[in-house]
Amino acid sequence: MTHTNEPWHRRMLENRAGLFAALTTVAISVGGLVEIAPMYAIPVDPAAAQAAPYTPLETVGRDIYVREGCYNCHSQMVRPMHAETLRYGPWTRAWEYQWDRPFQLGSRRIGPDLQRQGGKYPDAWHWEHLKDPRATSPGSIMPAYSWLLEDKVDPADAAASVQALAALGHPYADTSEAAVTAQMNAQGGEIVARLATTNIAAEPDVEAVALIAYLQRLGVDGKRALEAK
Amino acid sequence: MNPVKDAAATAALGWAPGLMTAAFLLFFVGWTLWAWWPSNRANMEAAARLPLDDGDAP
Amino acid sequence: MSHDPPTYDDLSVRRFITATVLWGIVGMLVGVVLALQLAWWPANLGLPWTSFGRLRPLHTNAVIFAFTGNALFAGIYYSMQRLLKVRMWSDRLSSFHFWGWQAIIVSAAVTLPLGMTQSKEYAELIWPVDLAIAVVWVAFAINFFGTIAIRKVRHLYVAIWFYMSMVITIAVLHIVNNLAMPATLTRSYPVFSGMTDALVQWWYGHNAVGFLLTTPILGLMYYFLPRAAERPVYSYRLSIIHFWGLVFLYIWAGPHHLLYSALPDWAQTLGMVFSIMLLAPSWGGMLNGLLTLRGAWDRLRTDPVLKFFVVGITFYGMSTFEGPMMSIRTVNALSHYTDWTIAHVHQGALGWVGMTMFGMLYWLAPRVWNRPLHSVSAATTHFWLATVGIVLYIVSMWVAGVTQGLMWRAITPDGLLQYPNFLDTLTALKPFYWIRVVGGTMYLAGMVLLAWNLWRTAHPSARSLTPTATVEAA
Repeated sequence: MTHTNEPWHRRMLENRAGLFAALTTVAISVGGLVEIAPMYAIPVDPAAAQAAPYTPLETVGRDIYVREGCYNCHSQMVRPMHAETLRYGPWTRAWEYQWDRPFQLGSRRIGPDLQRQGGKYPDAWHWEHLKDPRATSPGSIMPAYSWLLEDKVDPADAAASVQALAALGHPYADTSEAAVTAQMNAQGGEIVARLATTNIAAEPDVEAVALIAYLQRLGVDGKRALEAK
Repeated sequence: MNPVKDAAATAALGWAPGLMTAAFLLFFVGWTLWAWWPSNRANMEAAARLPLDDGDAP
Repeated sequence: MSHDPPTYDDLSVRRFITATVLWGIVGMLVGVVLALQLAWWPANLGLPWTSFGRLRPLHTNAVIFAFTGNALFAGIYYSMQRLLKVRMWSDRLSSFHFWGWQAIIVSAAVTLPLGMTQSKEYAELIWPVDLAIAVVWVAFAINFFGTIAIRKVRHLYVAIWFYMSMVITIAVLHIVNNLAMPATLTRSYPVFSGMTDALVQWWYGHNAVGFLLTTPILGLMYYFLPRAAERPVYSYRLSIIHFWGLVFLYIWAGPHHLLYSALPDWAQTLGMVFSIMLLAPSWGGMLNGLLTLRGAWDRLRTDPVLKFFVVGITFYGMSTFEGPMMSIRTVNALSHYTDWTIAHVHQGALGWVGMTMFGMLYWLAPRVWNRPLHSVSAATTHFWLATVGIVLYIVSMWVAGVTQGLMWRAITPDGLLQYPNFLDTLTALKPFYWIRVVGGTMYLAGMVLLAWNLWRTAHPSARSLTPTATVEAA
């Protein structure tokens, strides 16, 4: 093997795997850096103060939303277009997502967008819809989520979620399991009381209650702030 | 989606985007010239035949 | 050059081929089940682990990482040893890579139906599995660069460049997108939040397509197409240009998944502009592939390998034209969130990735098992099943996507929504969902035929080995 008579570019570049790998790394890094880094330089929108973090029960509900893969069929992003704002409400601002880990924008609407779902229907509607989607929405192709009406939320698991989010900077005053459970029971109790008015007997610690708490929270802060303008 | 703020942010970048574009364009033109340089022709053709140099194991 | 012919590690190639076929059937079967669930909801079975929301990530992960991943590794192990005229650097690492990758796939098949997910598309796997992926990937990278270091051929053929871009880029994407704070063993929260999380995810999601489903397969095309056509690639110069164009431009295009979102306008515009520019290097690769067959077109009639390659490369051209088009804001306004996107990804996955990999497998299997392909006619049947299946799939999803997109935006003369009930826009799609079930089933049937054909190639019956039996040559 002699390569002394090879042209310089071959000796320098294509034959040098290390240099070649380094150049490739540079080429694939430029785009990502230019696009992602400025996200941290953008000044925080003053409106952001109007979005409160999720309560422990809403956090657990969000975990269930993620677990069941709701994002595979439901988006959370109202686009700034006339037909979209007519159908769903005010288009989404970036600051509304600030407590969303992971984000749930979705990529396909097999079902409707849920960004402005909060307050749209009563709690009982959601309960019946999870139990049998076709009872509230004839023709729906959504699977029934009957297990959510029975499976219980594990308080230790819920506290672990709140603690991990607190470690990422979400402002929770007390992340002990006792405090988290107390807050969940209080908010869950309100939902159970509202469900009872329509003769639905629900345990306060079933997963459906947590999921309803999350769904009723979706887009509420943003809508209030945007409509007050 | 804030035209006013976006325009301000773009202006703050100054000449950087233009310079970067020019640099990458030059890099691309240089690379293309090199690939088609007549004296490289033989090397290129030899390289293209590498897969056909069948080194199947016994 | 040494006089002793090098012995290559083809055991790893055979293993990866076997895994490709097995996981391919699983991934595509789940896809057909999902298609059925959308056409006929009782197919969700009322069980948590068979509901659409939990199965869909299993389908995407199985097809991307199990089917395509294993096929890539089979092709890379075969071609890089021959291009560098040296055995893989470490047999132990090759073996660890294979078994580690299969263990990751099995853990995905268990955790995803159980609802253990990060919910980031194609990055759903939970953090302990993500760590395992990082370890196995690094082992592969060490073996990959180790083999390059001990190579007996100085020049790195262009296919190796494409493989290298995959090894590096997937590592970077995987690590950054999965940075998270664990809450429990099965749940974590990303360090990025909201719109930044979305941008990082689609930087990952778009480039996982770019550097797992595009560049390494182009690399394989640059090796296996010249081998199958028995002529060098049309233009080696073009391959060099389009390599650098592709790896540089691809990374920028991620924001086209977030058009009209709350992402800053400048980022959306960058995503759109770079997506359109991406057309040039993409078509460079497509033309280079198709023109390599100049003077060999007559062989297309008889050789199923070349048939698969030509259709695969043609679909590459189509989907890399459609992609930039869908990145134009006004087109995206209609296509986004509809089945048009589903049509587009399957053009790439079934058309480009699937067909090209099938061609490679039919060429490769007889060589690594040292026996002629069991049935050329079965391979040709597979080709037609797959081609017709893709056309049914894509056309039905195009029509479904445009239909729904138009219904969402339809406004009456009074300025009201023409279809205020969302369900009206979904019920309209039902016939197309059934056509998709048919198309997907045909594609799956072709995959099963491939499995049978390769099995009989690797394990011929005693009768077919007797001299009197006629064995068709590959």
